[in-house]
Amino acid sequence: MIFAIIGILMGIVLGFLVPITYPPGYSLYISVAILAALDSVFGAFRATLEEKFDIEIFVSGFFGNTILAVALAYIGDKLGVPLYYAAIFAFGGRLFQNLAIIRRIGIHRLRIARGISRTSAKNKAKN
Amino acid sequence: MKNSRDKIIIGLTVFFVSFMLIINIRNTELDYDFIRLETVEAFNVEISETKEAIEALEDYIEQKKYQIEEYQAALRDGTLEDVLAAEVSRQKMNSHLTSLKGPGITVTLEDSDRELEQGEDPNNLIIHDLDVLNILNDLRRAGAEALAINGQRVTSQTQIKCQGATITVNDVTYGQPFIIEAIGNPDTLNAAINAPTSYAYILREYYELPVGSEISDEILINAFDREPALNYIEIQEGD
Repeated sequence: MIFAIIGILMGIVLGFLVPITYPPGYSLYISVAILAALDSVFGAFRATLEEKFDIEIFVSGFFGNTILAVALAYIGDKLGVPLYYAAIFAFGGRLFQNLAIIRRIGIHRLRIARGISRTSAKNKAKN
Repeated sequence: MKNSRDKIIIGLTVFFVSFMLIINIRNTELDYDFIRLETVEAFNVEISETKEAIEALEDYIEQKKYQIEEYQAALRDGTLEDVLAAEVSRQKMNSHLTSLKGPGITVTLEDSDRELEQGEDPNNLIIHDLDVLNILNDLRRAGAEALAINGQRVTSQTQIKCQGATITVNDVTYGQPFIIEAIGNPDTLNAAINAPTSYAYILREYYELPVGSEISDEILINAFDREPALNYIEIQEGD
């Protein structure tokens, strides 16, 4: 968790500091790549909560999805068909799905924790 | 997240994502404007000109450094006087106060002796002060290092003035022909007189004035024979 937070902070700070610009034509590819990477990160978070996280699956999915998304966008550009929609729908849909499952697990755990505390409070009251 | 290797990998991937995110946000925030191709071209020209100016300045710095090294070497060897004497003679060459020689060309300008055409302005057949000035300018553009008109050294204070059919140079009046002598690269100087875009070419071809030019291996140019006027100028402090 600490590594992840450090990574996020460093990414934000460096992103503001490093003077990289690219032609606006590439903006689409990078957006799609970010979406795919975000999907992988949320998927990893969900898998961690479900306690079936596997680093190899995560890394391969992270890079594989990103590269596939960019490749789709590129091929779509060449063909004149907006194929990047496929990536947006697939990853965007899964992003929400992952978020929904994370939410459920979180609320579930919260309720368990609250229930325990309530029952313990009742127990205390009984005692 | 079992071991530290996994944690580092996760940290790196998250770093990557947030980094790209911020870069993308910053990039799409940039304001893009439509500009015309000429604008791009103009900017390119400006950039290359600025680069050239920078290069010239760097060359100048190199030159000055070399000069400083030379002085320091002279200080060490005790030959500073020689170096200064060489410097003085260089400055003398530049200051119109010494007679000079070198390769160059001689340009002869004369009034035309052709018949005046019906209704033609007789001024067309005469060499004017402006003609001389334009040819002087052409010669300077071609890299003339020293110039003289009818033996009068052309300095930074030389005036060239029309007095009827005569021309006054350095307060001395001359009638035609006017002989301009220039020291410099003879080929480029000759081109400045004979090239189709030159002023002398126009005089020769359109006004049919006899403009002669002759390349010479050794042209002698006299020193400016009076003290230059230095009544108002002062040396700037700190130079």
